[in-house]
Amino acid sequence: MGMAEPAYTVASDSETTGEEKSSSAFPEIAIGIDVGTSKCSVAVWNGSEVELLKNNRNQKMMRSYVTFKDDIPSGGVSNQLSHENEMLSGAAIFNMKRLIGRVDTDPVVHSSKNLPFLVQTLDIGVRPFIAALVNNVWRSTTPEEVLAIFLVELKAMAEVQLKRPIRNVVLTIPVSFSRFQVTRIERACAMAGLHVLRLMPEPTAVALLYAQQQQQAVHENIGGASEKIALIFNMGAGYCDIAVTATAGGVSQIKALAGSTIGGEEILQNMMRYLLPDSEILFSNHGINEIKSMGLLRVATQDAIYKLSSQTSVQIDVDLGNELKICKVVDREEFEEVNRKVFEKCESLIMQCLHDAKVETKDVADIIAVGGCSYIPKIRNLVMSICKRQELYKGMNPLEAAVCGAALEGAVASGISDPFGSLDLLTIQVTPLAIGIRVEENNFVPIIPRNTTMPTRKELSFTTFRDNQIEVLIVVYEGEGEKVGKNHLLGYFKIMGIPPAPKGVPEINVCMDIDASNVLRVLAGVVLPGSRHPAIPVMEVRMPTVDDGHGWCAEALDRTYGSALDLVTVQKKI
Amino acid sequence: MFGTLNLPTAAPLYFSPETRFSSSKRSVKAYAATATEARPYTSPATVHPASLYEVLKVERTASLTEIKSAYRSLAKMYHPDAMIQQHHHLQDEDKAEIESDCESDGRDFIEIHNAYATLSDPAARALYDLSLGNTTSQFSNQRGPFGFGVGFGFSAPNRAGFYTTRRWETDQCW
Repeated sequence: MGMAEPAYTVASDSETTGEEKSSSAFPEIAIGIDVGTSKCSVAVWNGSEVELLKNNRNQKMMRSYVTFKDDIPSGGVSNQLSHENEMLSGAAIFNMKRLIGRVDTDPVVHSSKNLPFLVQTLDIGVRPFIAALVNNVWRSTTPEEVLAIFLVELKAMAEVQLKRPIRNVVLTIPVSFSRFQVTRIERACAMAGLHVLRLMPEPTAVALLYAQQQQQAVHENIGGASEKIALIFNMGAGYCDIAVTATAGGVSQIKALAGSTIGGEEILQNMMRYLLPDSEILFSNHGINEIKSMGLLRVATQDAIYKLSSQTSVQIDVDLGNELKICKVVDREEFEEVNRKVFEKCESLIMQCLHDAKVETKDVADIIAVGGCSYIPKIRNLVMSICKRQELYKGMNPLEAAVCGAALEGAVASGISDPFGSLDLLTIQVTPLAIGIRVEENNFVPIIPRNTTMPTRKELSFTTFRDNQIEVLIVVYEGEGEKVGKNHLLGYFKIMGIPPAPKGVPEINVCMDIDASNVLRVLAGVVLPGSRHPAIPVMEVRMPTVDDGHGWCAEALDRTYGSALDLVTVQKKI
Repeated sequence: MFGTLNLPTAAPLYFSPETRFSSSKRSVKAYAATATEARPYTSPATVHPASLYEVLKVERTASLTEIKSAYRSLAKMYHPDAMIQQHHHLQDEDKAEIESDCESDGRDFIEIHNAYATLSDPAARALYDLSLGNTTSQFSNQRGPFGFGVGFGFSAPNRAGFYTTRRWETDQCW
C-alpha cells in the first residue's frame, strides 16, 4: 500500500513513459482484478459507478487457465475453445493461484498432483515442476509465468475497452497468502507490465463494497449513520477467507481476518475420491489416457456438485475410458458427509475470526457470504447458524463483490474523488498473519501479532543463549504455529560483533515495521547494560529476502548452526 | 533521543500498558516536532506529551461512540491511504507540504490508532485514566524514556532515507 511509488521498470513496457507528466494532472484510474482459482474478473470505476469488463464472448467471469499449444500460449480470456475439452489434453494449466509461491513439500502442491497436467515434486523444499503436455512433450512452466500470460490477456482486454493503456492494478489475494507468495504475485504482475497499486485480502475488498453501500444508504436516508459490524465469508475454488469489519461513514475498519487453503477444489477432490476411491493411484503416471480420464472425472464431478446446490440428489454417469465407468446417484447428505471436514474447518475459521475481532454474534448486523462456494446450501446454513440468523445480506452478487471492491479501492488509491461522495472511502487493514522470529528450541515468538492494524511498528527484546556469544541469527517467520517449522520463512540475517558477555546480558532488540506500502522491515540492534547506545550498528533488512528454494534454507541453517547462534526471549518482569 | 537505542537500564523490556501509554506518546511527538516542520497535525504546542484524549480530540468524558467516531474521522485525514486523495485535491503549492507528510508513513495514524485502541477498551481506558489522575508528570516517566512503541529510536529520524519504492527483486530477471 503506497503512494506515488515509481512504477516497475519493465523493458517491454514503453507506451506509458510518454504520459507520466500528463497523468499527474489527471490520475490514471487503477483497475481492479480478482484472480480467482477458477475464474477471474476485471472491474473499473467508470466515473460514477463500478463496471465489470466483458471479454469478446460477452463474459464477465473468465476461466483462469492458460493453454500451451504450438508456440503461443493462450489464456481463458480470449480463448475460443471450451475449458472442459482442453483440460482433457493435458495442455491446459490452471489452479495457479493454489500453486504460486509454494514449495514441493506443501500439502497444497501434493493435492494438485492429480490435476490433468504435470505437477511433479521431489519433496525437498524446492519449487515443484509444473508442465503442460504439448505434442507429446511435457513443457515446463511456472505458476508465475502462467499467471503473467493470463494477466497480459486481461490487460489487453481492458485496454481495448477503456481505450487507454493500463498500468496500475488493485489485485485481491487470499488472506492466508504468505508475504513470499505476495512477492510471486507481484512478480507475475511485473512480467505482465502491471504495477500493483494495492493487494487486498479478498474479504476486505468485499468489506469496502459493503462500506460504500452503507454510506449510500445513509445518504439516501435508508439506514442510520451508526457503526455496523459485518461478517464476511468468502469461499472460492481455492481458499476460504473471513473478515469481520466495522463500518461507518465510509470507513471500513477491519477487525480481524482468518483464512485457509480450503475451497471448492478440496470439495471437488473429496468427491472425486469418493466416486473413484483409488483415482490418485490410477492417475499417478500421467499418461495421455489417464489425463483424459482424470479430466472427464473432474468435469463430471464438478457438474454434479453444481447440481447438488439446487437439487437434493444427482445422477452421475461417466465413461472414463479404459473400461472405467462410474454410474452412481449421489444425494446431498452423502455430499455433506464426504466434505464434513471442510465444513467443520469453515466453522472453526468463522469462530476464530469472531473471537479475534472480539465481536459477539448478536452484534453482527450483516452476514455476507460470497464466492462460488457460497452457493452450497450447507455453507449458507452453517454461516447463518453460527451467527444465529435466518438470512444473509442480499445487496451483493456473490461472484462479483470482490472485484467490485478492488475497483473501488483502485479508484480511491488513484486519488479519484466523486462529487457525490461515493469514493469517500477508507479501508483500515490488519495483518493477516503474525510475524516473528525464531528463538531457542525452534520456538516462534510473534513480534507483530496477527490482526494488528497497519501501518504498525512493534518491538521485542531478546538476549543471548550462551556465554560470550558474539553472533546471533535472526530468522524471521510468518504464521500462527508455535514452532517455526509450521510457519513461512521470510528471511534471515546474522548480527555479528556482539561484545562478549555472559548469556542473558546483551539486549538484542528486534523491531518490525510495516509501513503504509505494506513493506516489512526488520531492525535489530544490540545494547549492553549501562549504555544507551547501540554497541554495533543496527541492522535493517527488508523482508522477505528468501527465494524460490526457501524450503531448504531453514533446514540448512539448522544443520550448519544448530542452536549455536540462538536467541532467547527475555522474561517479562512485570 | 534519536539515533539511539532508548533502553531502560533495569526496566521492563516488554510492552506493558504503562510503558506503551507513555513512550509512544513521547517519541512520536518528539519525532514529529523535529523531523517535519510543516505538519498540520502536530503543532509545536504539542511537543510536550499530549493525553490520548487530546490525540483523538475528544473530552475526557467522551462516550465509546464518540471515541469511535473521532477515530474514524481522524483516520480519514491521517491514514496514509486517505492522504493520497487529499494530495490530489490540493493545489501545487500545497503539495510539497503534504508530500513531506506522506513520508511520515502513517506515524500520525499509528499514534491515533494506539490512542483509540486504549480508549475503546473499557479496561485499558480505566487503567489509563487512573495513570492520568495519579500524577502531573505521568508522561515524563521517571524511569527514563523507554522509546518503545511507535517511535522507537531505531531509525525514526532516518525514515526519509528508507527506500520508498516497493521490492525491486520483482524487477530481476525471471
